[in-house]
Amino acid sequence: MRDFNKLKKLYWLQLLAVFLLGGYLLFFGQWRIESNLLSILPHSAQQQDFSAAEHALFKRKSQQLIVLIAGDNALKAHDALAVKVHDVANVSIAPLTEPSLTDIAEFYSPFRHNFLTSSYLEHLDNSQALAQLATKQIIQVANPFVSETIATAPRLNLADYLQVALSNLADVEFDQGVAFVNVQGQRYLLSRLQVTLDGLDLNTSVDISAKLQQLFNDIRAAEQVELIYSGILFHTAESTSQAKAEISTFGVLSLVAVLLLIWSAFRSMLPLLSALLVLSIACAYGFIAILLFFQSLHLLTLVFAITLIGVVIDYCFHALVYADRQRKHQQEHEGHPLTKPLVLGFITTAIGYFILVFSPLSLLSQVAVFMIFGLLGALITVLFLLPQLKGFSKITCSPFSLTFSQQGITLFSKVFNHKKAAIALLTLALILLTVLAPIKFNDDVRLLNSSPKWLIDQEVNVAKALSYQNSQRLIIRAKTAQEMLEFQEQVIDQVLASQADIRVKGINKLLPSIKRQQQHYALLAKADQQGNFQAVLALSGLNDPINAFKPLTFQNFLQGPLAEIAQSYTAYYDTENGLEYASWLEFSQVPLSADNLLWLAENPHVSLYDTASDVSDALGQYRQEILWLLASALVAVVVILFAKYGLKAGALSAIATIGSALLALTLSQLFSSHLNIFNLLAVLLIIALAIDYVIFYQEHGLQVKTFLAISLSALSSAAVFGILVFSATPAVSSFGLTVMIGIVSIFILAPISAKNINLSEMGRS
Amino acid sequence: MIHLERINAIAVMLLMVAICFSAGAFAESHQHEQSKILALSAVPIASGSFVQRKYFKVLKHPIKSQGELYFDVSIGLLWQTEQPIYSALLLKKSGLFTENDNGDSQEIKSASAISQVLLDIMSGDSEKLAKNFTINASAIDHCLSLTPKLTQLAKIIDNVQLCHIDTPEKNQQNLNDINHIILHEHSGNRTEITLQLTPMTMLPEAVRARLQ
Repeated sequence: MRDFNKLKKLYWLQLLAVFLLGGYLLFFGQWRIESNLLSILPHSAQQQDFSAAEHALFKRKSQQLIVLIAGDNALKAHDALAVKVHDVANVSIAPLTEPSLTDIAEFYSPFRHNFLTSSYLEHLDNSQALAQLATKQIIQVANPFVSETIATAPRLNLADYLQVALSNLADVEFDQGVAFVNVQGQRYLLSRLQVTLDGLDLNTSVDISAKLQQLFNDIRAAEQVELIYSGILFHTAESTSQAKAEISTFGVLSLVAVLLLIWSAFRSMLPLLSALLVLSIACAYGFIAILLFFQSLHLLTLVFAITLIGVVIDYCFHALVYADRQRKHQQEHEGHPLTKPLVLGFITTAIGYFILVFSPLSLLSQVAVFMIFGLLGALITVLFLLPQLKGFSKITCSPFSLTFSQQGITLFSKVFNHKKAAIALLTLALILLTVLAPIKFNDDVRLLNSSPKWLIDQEVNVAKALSYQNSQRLIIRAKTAQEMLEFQEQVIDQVLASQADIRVKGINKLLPSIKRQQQHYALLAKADQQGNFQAVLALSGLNDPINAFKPLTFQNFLQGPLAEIAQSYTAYYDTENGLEYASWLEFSQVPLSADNLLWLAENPHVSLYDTASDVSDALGQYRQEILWLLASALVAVVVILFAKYGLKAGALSAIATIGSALLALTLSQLFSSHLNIFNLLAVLLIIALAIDYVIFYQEHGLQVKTFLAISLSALSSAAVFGILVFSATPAVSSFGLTVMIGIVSIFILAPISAKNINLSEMGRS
Repeated sequence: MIHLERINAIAVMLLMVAICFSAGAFAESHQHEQSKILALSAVPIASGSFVQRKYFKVLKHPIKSQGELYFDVSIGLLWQTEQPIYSALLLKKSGLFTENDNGDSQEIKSASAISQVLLDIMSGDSEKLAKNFTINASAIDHCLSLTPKLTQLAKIIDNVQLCHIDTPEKNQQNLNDINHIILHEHSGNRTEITLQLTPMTMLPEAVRARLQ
């Protein structure tokens, strides 16, 4: 008794300490909330190597929003947007400017001998062909490239070069200073908006998104135009709103369902208040642990964390069902009858979740930490706080619940007596299900996208209009700017050698490496010495002596009229090893061939920038690891059950546990076209729950109170997890479906593991 | 007296209302007037020949080229240089293309504006020209001066002169037919094009196929 009092004091002390810590972390800790699904998914090793380059190249772009407007009043609508967008806080217009050709020609003029197009390169040794090339350009009606460069570069190699280099980048055209793109004869005016806040919090995203959408709707209605838009901000806002709605709706519905169950089982307020108290403390423990171990809390963690209610309530049900025995045990200085199964159950569940703590998916680490600490809080509260509540030991089960339990036992005792038949039926069902719906996994992360269809459709339309829908992007990084340009040229040469039809978009033409410029300079000088340019120069009668080589450098380029393009395609950033340079290339029209992809994969300076497929690959690998983890967990479970309860009982317990896990997987496959990693994660939880049930049946036998507690647990868990099936986030609904099926399966299968039917206990009840 | 003052006040108000209305209508009527000044003969489909002289500030002599042209406003323009070398420029619905001797075509992005202007001039699309240019009388007889309104054009061309020059070989001309075009560039360079057009009801099938 004295020991119990000491433990009570200890309980209050630790509760005080935990809450003080929580208060400190909440108000003084550095934490933030995230809602981007990609931020919590795993990254491949190559992605991690290139993450700094990726961040430097695309960070600013990720905060940009694109708006396309078409229709008779498109210009009016475009102007209205430019004016009214200033009313939306933290958003500004990022103007698209068209560089002046005169400035460009003047800028390139000192380096004019360093640039040769493929047409010039091909004909350098043929004076007549060179003259034809130049004549073709010179007779073109008002060719601005010729007009601007003929005086300084009469070989017209620069005119030809600039025309090719600039037209290669020109998906966007300009009219009256307004950028536009033509899509199947339809002109879309293009506006680019920049979100000006760094580290946008979720509520601000929702606010900005709502205001912008309202503005877009107003403009559509006023000007009768087609207006489409895209940007990460809109996806963040949608997923935030969705997650918030689900947390509140599912949370309240789960709580109401659980409270109704408690009321129907005990018909008194104290069990309700006790359950609420345990749930609150468990949630607080889980939340404080997240604040302690993580810098950011993902909203999806909270959606998954609703499941804590389902497991914690199990502890409450066991405590409430056995409440009347506690005083007796305390008076008789006996151990609490629940201590052993609850602690054993907690340890097995915690071990299951503990493995997930080290998962590369930060979402799972967060959920695991939340669950372990939440369950720990619930366990110690159930064991040390609930018995102290006044009137707790007088809690009794309602006659209705006892009758229900007795009927349940009667039903299950029949199953209990036909164990072999039940096991045979289970085996048959599993075989049939495997044949009918063979298990198929699909790791494509895009299938987990929870953005609404209308938003995805707009994104696709904008991507089509700006010609990047079916493009592939490469990131190139290097220690110096020249290395970066050389790697870029190596990549392009490699790809074009086998795929001449592919379109390459990048800064490579406008800024070749010094090495390449020197090669072209040498070739041009040699052709000139051989007199191959005489006919060309005769066309204009102008002279252009070739002076010493002068390279166009990266630094020169950044200060030139095309600096905006340079900043769009290149970046430099600090790393642990000093400054690094990165650029990106876009390939379109033809997909990169398997050979080229293989070559690129082996090149340490290049990474294919395809976040979706990178994450999908990582998810695939991680799924394999989880499958191994599941197999090991099942082996461990079998070993523990055999060791603890002997061969026969251990085997029956193992069949119930493994059988329910397999049923959950196969039935989930039957109800959905494919499985994903979240179905497997659900199986881990099922195993943890199944062990709890099996341990209780092993410890107490199939008797009224155990059956009642387990029934209430199963019903509450089914309600809590079942509701997740309705989540709009595919990850959450997959998880919910499998766990719900698993719980029903455990509920049906677990009694076959019971060591006996405790009829005397039945009689006493 | 009071009666007269009221009448005056009403008259002033009516005048103001009239000014407001007419200001709104001004832009439209001005454009209409401009297109009337042009009053070009509409030639939706035609073939013909051209002689082009390019005058570069830095060159003493112009660079001369000549060739054939075909257009149908509904499908596009073929501008085919025969002398001094063969080259073909095709303005299609889908953009501007060059064609080499083998018939392989390559798109020239963001460069269709000038070709479109030529097509508008030759086909006599006064409305479109009035929309895209400010039209004034030229110091030269039988010529009009067009200043681009569109930035895209204004960046390349300073001014376009459309002229009717009486030549010995008249092609069913009247004063509304344009047969001489001068494109003045900002750089001081200019392109002079002399045209000889024959209206048609349909382009030859081979040309239509190239423009499709």
